[in-house]
Amino acid sequence: MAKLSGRLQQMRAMREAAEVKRTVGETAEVEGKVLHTQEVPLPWPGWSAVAPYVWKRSLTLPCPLETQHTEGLLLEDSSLLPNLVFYDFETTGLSGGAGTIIFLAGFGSIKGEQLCVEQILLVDYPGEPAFIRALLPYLSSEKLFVSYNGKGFDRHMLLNRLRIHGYHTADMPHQLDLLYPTRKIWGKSLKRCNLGRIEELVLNIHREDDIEGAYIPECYQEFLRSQDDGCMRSVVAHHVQDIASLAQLLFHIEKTSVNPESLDDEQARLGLGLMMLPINEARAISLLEAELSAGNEAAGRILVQYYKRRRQLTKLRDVLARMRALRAGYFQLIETAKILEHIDKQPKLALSLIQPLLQQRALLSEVHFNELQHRLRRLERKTSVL
Amino acid sequence: MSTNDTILEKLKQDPQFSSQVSRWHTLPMREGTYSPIPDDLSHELQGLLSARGITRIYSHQLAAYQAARRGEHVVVVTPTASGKTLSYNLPVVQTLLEHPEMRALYMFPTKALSQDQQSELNEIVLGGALPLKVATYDGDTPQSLRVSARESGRIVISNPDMLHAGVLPNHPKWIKFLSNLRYIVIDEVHTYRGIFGSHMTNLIRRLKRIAEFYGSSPQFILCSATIGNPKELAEQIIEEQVTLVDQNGAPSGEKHVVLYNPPLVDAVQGIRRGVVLEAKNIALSLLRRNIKTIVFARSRLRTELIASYIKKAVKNMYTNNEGLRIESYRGGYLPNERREIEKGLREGRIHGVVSTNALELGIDIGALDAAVLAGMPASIASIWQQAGRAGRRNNVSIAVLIASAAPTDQFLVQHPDYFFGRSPESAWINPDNLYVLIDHLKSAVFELPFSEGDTFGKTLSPEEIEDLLAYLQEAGTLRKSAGRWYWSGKGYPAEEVSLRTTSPRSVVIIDTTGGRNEVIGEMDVPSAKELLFPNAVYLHRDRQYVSLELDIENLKCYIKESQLNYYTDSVVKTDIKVLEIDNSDAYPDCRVLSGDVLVRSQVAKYKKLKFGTHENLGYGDIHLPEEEIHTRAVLMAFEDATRAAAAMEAVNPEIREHVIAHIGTLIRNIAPVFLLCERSDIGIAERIKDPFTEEPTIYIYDTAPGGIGLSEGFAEKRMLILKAASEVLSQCACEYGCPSCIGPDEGKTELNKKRAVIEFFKTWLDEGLTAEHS
Repeated sequence: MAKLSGRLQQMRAMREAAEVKRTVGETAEVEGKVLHTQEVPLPWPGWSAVAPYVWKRSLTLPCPLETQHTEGLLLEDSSLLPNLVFYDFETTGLSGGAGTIIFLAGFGSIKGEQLCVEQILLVDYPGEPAFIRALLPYLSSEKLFVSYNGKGFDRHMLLNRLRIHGYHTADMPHQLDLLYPTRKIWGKSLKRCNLGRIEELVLNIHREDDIEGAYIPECYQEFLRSQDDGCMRSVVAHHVQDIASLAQLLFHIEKTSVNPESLDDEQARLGLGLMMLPINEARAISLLEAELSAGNEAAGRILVQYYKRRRQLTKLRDVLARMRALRAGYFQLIETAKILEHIDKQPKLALSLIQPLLQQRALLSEVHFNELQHRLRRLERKTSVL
Repeated sequence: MSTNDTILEKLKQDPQFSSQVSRWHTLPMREGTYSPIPDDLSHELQGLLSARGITRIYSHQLAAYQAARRGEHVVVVTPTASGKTLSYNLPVVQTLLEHPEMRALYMFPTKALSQDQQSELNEIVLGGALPLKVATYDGDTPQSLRVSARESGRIVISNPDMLHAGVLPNHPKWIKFLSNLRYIVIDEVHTYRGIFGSHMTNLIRRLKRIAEFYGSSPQFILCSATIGNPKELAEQIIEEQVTLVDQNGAPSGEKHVVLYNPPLVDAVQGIRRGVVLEAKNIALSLLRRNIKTIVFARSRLRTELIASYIKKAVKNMYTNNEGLRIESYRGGYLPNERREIEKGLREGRIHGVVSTNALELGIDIGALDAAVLAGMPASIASIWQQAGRAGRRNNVSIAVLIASAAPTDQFLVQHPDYFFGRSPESAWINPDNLYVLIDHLKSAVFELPFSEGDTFGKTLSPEEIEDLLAYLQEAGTLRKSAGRWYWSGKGYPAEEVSLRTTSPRSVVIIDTTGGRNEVIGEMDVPSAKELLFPNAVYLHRDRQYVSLELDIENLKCYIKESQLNYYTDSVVKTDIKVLEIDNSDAYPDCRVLSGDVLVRSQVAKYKKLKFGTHENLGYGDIHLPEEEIHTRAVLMAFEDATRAAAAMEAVNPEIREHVIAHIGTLIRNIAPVFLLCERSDIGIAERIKDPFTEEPTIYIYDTAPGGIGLSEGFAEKRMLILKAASEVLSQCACEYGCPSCIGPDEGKTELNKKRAVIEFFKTWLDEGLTAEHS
C-alpha cells in the first residue's frame, strides 16, 4: 500500500487546485492556514477569568417594580420572583449532537428593581470542563428556569454536555418555556414566532446592529481562529438582550392575561383564551364569553366544545343560541340538532332545523355535506317511525 | 418416496428441459448433529425452549454459545434455515438475564430484517415471559417510542445507518445503554463488503471509541452466509481476533441443484432464449404440479414481468386460477403489503412468489419446495442463499438456476465444478480508504475530541491519525487547541455521509413527454454521464426515451419518449496517471504493479448502434465535464521477455489494439465473479503502449474513490481470473465474439479477433499456472 501521507499529499493538491479554481478573480484568502496561538487569551475589560479559557461578567439592567407583573397565570404569585432564572445558551451549532457545545451561557435573576445577568463565556475548547463546572452552581432544582425554546433545545444541550463530562442530571431546575404560550397566543397572527419577531411586534423592542442568530456559530469559529473580538462582542450583547427579553415577555404575557383587550388582534385574543383554558379556566371563559358577545363565532366554537366536555347543558344551549343569532352556520345548527335529537328526543325539530342547510350545499365541504346527508337520513328514519 | 421425487424424475426425463441442463447436482439428505442444551442456561430460558419443543440444540449453536460465554468474539457461518438466530440469542439472553443492567445491540443491514427479528425475539424466543425489553430503533421508530427504547431497551435492534447518523452523534442520550453495552450482534456480515464494509469497519471503530469512553467493551457475535473468508472479513470489520464456528449441525433434506442454460437462438451472435420466459415456463411447470415455488429475478421490472406472465397463464375464473395464488414481492411495496405476502407464504395460502433479492435475506417466509433463479445474482453467496429458500428439513427440494447471457452467468453455468466447489469468493473491504476514513474521522471528532496519540482502529499509527487530523484542521473542519482536536465545522458531519455509496449525488430522471413532468428514476452522477448525456437513447421499463438535457449542477435529467431505431453507447476516454507505485513484481507471464492512480474520464463521443444488428450508424459529440478520481489500481505490463510480450508479438499488428481491448472487456466481464462485486465496481483501461510502463498494459482499478480493496483482490486472484477468462472464451459458442465473452466484434478487418484472443491466452497462460502454483 502506498503511504497514507503520500495519498494525503495528493488530496491536498487536488483540494488546492479546486480552491484556486473557485477563487479565481477574488483575492486569495489565507484562510485555512493553521494559527498556532497556544497562549491562553486575556479577558476583555469588564470580564474576569474564572478558569483558563473561561470568562465571566455580571451586569445589571433596570427592571422597575411596576413592570414586574405577576397575575397568577404562568407564575402563581410574586413570591416566586426570586426563584426565576431567565436563561439562554449560545452554541457552536444549531442541530445539536455530541459535537455541538455551549460556548456562552447567561442567567438572569430579579433582585428588587434590577435584572442581574451573569454571562459565562468559553473562549476555547480546552476550557469546556471548567466552563461546565462554572454552570453547576446555577442548576439548582429549586429554581424555575425560564427560556424561549429551552425545552426543545437549550435543556437538551445542557444535559448532553453534563453527561459527557460525567455529571448526574437527575435534579435539574424546572422549566418554563415561553415559546409554547407565545405560539398559542400569537402563532396564528404572526405565523413565525421567533424571539426576534416577538420583540419587534409584541414587546416593541427594536434591536440595533444586532447579529442574526444563524450566524453566531460561524462568528464564534471566526473568533477562535483569529482572536478578533469584533463580532464576538455583538454576540455577547445580543445574548444579554435575549435574556432581558425573556423577562419582559413573561411579564407581558402575565399582564395581557388580565387585560386581553390590549390585544388588538381577534386571533390573538382567541389564542390567549385557548392558551389559558387549561391553566386558568375562569379567566379563559370570561375572555371567550366576551369575545362571543362581541360577535366572534370562533370563540363560540371553543366554548361549545368546553361546555360539552363539562356537560354544562344550560351554558351549552345558551352559547349555541347566541351563535345562531349571529348566523345560521353549519356548526351551530348541527350542534343544536344533536342536542335536540339525543337529549330532548325531538328528531322532528332537529330535522326541520338542519334541512335548510341543504340549500347551502355550495358552501359546505365534501365531508360536511356527507355528514349532513347521513344525519338527515337518520332523522328522517326516526321521524317516520314516530 | 414423496411426490416431489416423482415430479423430479419427470423433469429429469423431459428431453427439452434436460438437454439444457449443464449439471444436475444432488445434495444428499443430511442428519442433524445435536448437542444437549447447556447446563448453565437459566431455568426460565430452558423452560421457554422446551415450550417450543426444543430439547436439544444443533452442534454449531452450542459451539457459538460456548465461545461467546468464554468471552470470545465469534463469527457463525450458517446456511439458510439452520437456526442462526438461536446461535446469538442464547448467549445474549442468558447473559442479560444474569446481569440486569447489561444491554445488547443487534444490527441488521436492512430495516425489514430488524422488524422481522424483533417479532421473532418477542414472540418466539422470549414469549413475553422474560423480563427483557426488546426495542427496534430505526428511521421508522416513532419519536414517542425512542426515549423508552434508549432508556429501557435491553436489546436494541437497529441498522448501521441509524448507528451512524442517529445514535453515535447523539451518544449522551444513550449513556445508559452505551455504558452497559455487553454484546453487539452483527447479522448478515457478508453484506458488509466493498464500500459498505469499508464504512462498517470505521463505524465500529467509532462505536468502540464511544463505548470505551463510557467504560464498556462490548463483545461481538457475527453471522455470515457462506463466503470464502468469513473469519477474515469479521476480523477486518471488528478489528479483533474472532473465533470461527462453521460446522453446520442442522439437518437438511435432499436437495437438487440444477444449472440450466437456455437454448441458443442465434449461435453466431451467441444469443440465447431470454431468462424471463424460461423462468416463467419452469416455474409454471412446478407450480402446476403443486410445488411451492419462489422465483428470484434480478430487477424490479423483471419481477413484475415474470409474475404477470405466470398469473396470466393460470388465469381462469372457472378453476379459480387453477387454485393457484401467485404474488410478486419487491422493495417499494408498502410494509403491510409485504407482511401480508410473507404471512400468506408461511401459512401456505400463497403458492408462488416472484421476488427481487428482497426475500433473499433472512425474512421468515417458511420453507418452499422449489426455487427458480431467473439469472444469477451478483455473488455465489447470494446464489446459495436464494437457492436455500427452497428446502425443508425432511423433504426433497429443487433449485433451478437459469443462466442469462451475462458473461458471469455463462461462466458459472459452463463451469459447474467451480460453482459446486467451495465458494472461492472472498469479501474485500478497504477500511483505510482515505475518503471513507476521513468521513468517519470527522464524525469521530464530532463525537469526542481527539488527543495527540489517540488511535482509530488498529491499522493506522497515531502519527498517521495526526496527519489526517492536521489535514482536516487545515480545511477548517477541526480546531486544535492545547493538544486536542475539536470539531469546528458546520452542522453534523454524519448527515453528509451515506454508508452505502461513495458518491451520494444522483441525478433525477424526469420524463417530459407530452408536457408531463414525472420522475421515473435516479442514477448516480458518473453513470448518468455515460448513459444520459444529451441525445442518449435511454431504455427504462420496456420504453425508449431520448435524453434532452443533463443538468449535472442541479442533478436533473430531462428525457422524452422516442421511437428511434438505434441505441447509443458512449465512448469513455479514460486517462490514467500513475501517482505512486508501491509494489512491482516480475512474473514469467507479465509484470504486475500496484499503486495509486488518478483516473480522469471523459465521455466525449457516442456511437449510434442499430437495434438488432448492432450496426454502427455514426457518432455524436458529448460535452460534459470530466470526472476525476484518485484510486487504487493494478497494472499488468506486457514487458519484454514475458510470455505476454511473446503472445503480443504473435498477434497481427493490425489488430493488436483490438486484441488488448477485447482482453480488457473479457477480464471486466469475469473478474466480478471472483471479487464479490458488481461489474461497475471495477474499471479497466488498456494501452497498447502505456506512457508509464512503456509497454502494452492493462489497468484494473477500483471505481470507488480511494479504492475498496478490489485491485488488491484482483492481484491476489489474478491467475484464477485469467484462467477462468480463457476458459469462458474458448467455450463460448459464438463465432467472432459476443457480449458473453470478449464483446461483439465491431472492427472492419477480416481477421477473426476472437481467435486471436484465444491464441493470445494460450501463450500467455500456458505454463504460467503450474509455475505460479509451485
